Amino acid sequence: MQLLDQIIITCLEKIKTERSIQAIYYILIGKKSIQTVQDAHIFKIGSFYGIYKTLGRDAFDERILQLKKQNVIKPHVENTIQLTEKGLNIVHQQKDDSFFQHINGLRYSDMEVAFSERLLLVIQTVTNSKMGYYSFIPIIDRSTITTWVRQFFYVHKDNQDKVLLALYHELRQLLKGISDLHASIFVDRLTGYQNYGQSIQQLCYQYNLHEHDIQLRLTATHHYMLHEVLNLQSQYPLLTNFVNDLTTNRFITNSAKKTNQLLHQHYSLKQIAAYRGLKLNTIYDHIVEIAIYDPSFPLHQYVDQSAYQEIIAAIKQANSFKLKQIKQLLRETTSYFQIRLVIATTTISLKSGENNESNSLFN
Amino acid sequence: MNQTAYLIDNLQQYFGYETFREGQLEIIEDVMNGNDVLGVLPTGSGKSLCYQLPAKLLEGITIVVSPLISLMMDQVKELKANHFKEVVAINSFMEYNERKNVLQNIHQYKLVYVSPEMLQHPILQSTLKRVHVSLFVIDEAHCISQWGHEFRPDYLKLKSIIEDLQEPTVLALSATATPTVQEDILSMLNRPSMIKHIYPMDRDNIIFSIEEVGGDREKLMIMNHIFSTYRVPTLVYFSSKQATEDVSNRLQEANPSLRIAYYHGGMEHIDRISIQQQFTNDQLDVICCTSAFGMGINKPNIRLIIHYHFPAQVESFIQEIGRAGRDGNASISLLLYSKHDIYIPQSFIRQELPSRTEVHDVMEKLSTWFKKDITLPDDQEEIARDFQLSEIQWRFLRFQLEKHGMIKGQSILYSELNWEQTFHQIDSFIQSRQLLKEKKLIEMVSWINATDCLRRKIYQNFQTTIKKPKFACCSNCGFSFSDWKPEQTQRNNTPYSWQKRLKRILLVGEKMNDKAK
Repeated sequence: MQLLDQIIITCLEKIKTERSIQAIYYILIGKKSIQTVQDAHIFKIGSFYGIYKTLGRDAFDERILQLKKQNVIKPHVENTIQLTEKGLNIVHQQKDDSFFQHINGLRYSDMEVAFSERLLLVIQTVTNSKMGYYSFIPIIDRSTITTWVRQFFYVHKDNQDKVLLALYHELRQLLKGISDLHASIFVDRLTGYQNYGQSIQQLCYQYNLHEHDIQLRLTATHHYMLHEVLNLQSQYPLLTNFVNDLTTNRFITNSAKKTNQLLHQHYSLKQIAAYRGLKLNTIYDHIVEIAIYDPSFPLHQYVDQSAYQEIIAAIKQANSFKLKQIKQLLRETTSYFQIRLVIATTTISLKSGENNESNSLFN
Repeated sequence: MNQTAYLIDNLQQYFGYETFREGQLEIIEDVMNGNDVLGVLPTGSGKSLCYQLPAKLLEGITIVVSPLISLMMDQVKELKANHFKEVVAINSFMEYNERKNVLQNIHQYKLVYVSPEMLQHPILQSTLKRVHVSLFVIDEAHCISQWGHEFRPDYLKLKSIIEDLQEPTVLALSATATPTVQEDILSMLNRPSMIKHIYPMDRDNIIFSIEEVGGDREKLMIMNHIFSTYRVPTLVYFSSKQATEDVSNRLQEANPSLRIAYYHGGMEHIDRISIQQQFTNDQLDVICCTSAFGMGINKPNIRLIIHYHFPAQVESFIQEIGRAGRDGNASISLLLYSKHDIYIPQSFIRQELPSRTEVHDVMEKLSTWFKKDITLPDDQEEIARDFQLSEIQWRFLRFQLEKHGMIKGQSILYSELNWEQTFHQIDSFIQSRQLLKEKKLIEMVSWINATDCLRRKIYQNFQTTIKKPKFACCSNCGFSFSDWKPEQTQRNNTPYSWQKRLKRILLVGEKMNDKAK
């Protein structure tokens, strides 16, 4: 089974019929909306967030169609989809693939593209420059990347040999930690002096894998590298330079970031809304966003202990994250905002998914 | 120092060439002396040098109007790679700040590439008016004639822009301009006294070959046969992206020792550059591509150009085969023709412009909008979607409606009498354009079906005499593939472990004596 299909049904098994199939698509492409981030969080599929940014809607729909044809999934009410018996069995068998260990979308998807493109362009630039060949055509043309690489190049231009040697050792060390398949695909993608990397389509042919698989496996390798480099900086002194300024974008929107600053200056939510000329509901969205990302978020300031217990009980009773269903089981005075905050910070899973392993991101 | 010596001197200094190629010096001398020039030079003859060198030498800025963003970007990259740094392409993909920055520092550039559409931008226009534009170049100038009438209306506005810029020297360049098109260019630019430098476009080292087949299966068989004999740099042209992928995969399966890839405009930047450069670098043998590939490619030893699908006009065909054999060695153009192939360009011609019903529906809707006091949305893509037209169709129709005073900016102007008349005018204009294209297509097909000399026939509309072929002439003059003995590409195999490959890439130039683990 294709990797993408495995991911889709893994997500589906967690989301169940709580959301339309579209929600999974948004998670995979890393849609920057509070709904999608919250979905990734509450259904514990944050590792898949933004792992396939270039996935087209048509290609996704095509996979859904194929999975239906193979009788792995079937339509349910209101544009939702559920797993069949067969599908459930597949979900429970799979996952020995190291791919699933490496990806960590909520944490790394914002850094991945910049990291991998910097790496590709530095390798192309320094190897060519070392050979005295300056007429190469850069494989990356995004100006944010080329500017960074230019600076890197000027800083290191007098010790190119050292840079390449360090890159070689650090990359080899990193690649030793993953499967030969992943390492080999990664190396084939590199462009050096008089040696251009393989296109995605060429890699498909060479490894007899689908385009989606190649893309996803490259992404997993990048996530793995980011994880290692960020956690073992002393072992990867050169590559650390590639990620230093790429902090995880903890708040998805800049607007939420601003709200958070004001929050820290002890403004009330109403004051923030008035000050920023935004609706109170928008500020609520920001608070939920902050709650998802900030482990030290002071939930008790918004939801007292008894309301918290009641909301948790209501979620369990409804066995759903659908706000309306939960709200019906609660006192009038409990607000949607409070329910959303509890959902954003809770770690409980819905029943019937015996798969209760908690997401590495949030424990 | 006389001017010629001065130019040769600078040619060596800036571009590293020892001598000019045919036509270059004549055109550059005229341009340097302030004369307007129409230059028609065959593909691969170094057209762009005709303005790149003057751009370096002239005071002020040279503007190059170019039809394709990808083409501009390729040229800029290549110039920069060759140390011509004062060059920029202003295009819609630029980030806002980047563009602002470029415009603020426009005087620091010697060579500025723009699309005709971008040139309409008021801010760019006012920026350019403030600096000294010494040379105004229209690259691929046949577009003025070929496209200007239709969906690139901004080509028609170049004339007034040149006037606004205080009449810089004008240089129009093309690789494919029949005498009719040449006249069209002169009149569109309102420059009847341009000096014409027309050079014969026939390529004496390219051999023309056409094989008629029963269908796609036979095309594959023929290609497989060729590829089992020759490993030479090869392009195979298709009319659809999907076909490049499908046939590329099948060819690769049948010829595992050849390195085959596909290329089309729908691929990501990094992959397009990789494929293009692998090919230039002899890391790839065959590319299956659409017409998106090849403009601006700089590979002297392309030996074989196969047309799996033929283009809709002779001009495009000449341009595509012109990429072969720039080193002067014997190269082949092979066109695989099956009778059904004509349906593809035919249906394209029909769908390219809106149909009568579509025009009618759009105008109907516009009149309702007018009566309800609704204006057009700002977003052109949205309008196209609303009218269920392709973007090209809408762009065409919008220009027509503007021309007839039916819309202006976002407002709709309505008068019942005018409305009816305009509909008929637009409709008959579409008919005449389609007819013209069908005529072009028939010209192409009749060349394919010719029984006399293919070489003489394909160039007959462009020039009266042709050079004697250097190696062989064409399949109608007795050429057969077995006469062809090109130098074959040597392949160096590198199926090593990833450890070894990583080392080869990163420790390039170091001795590889220790064994890879």
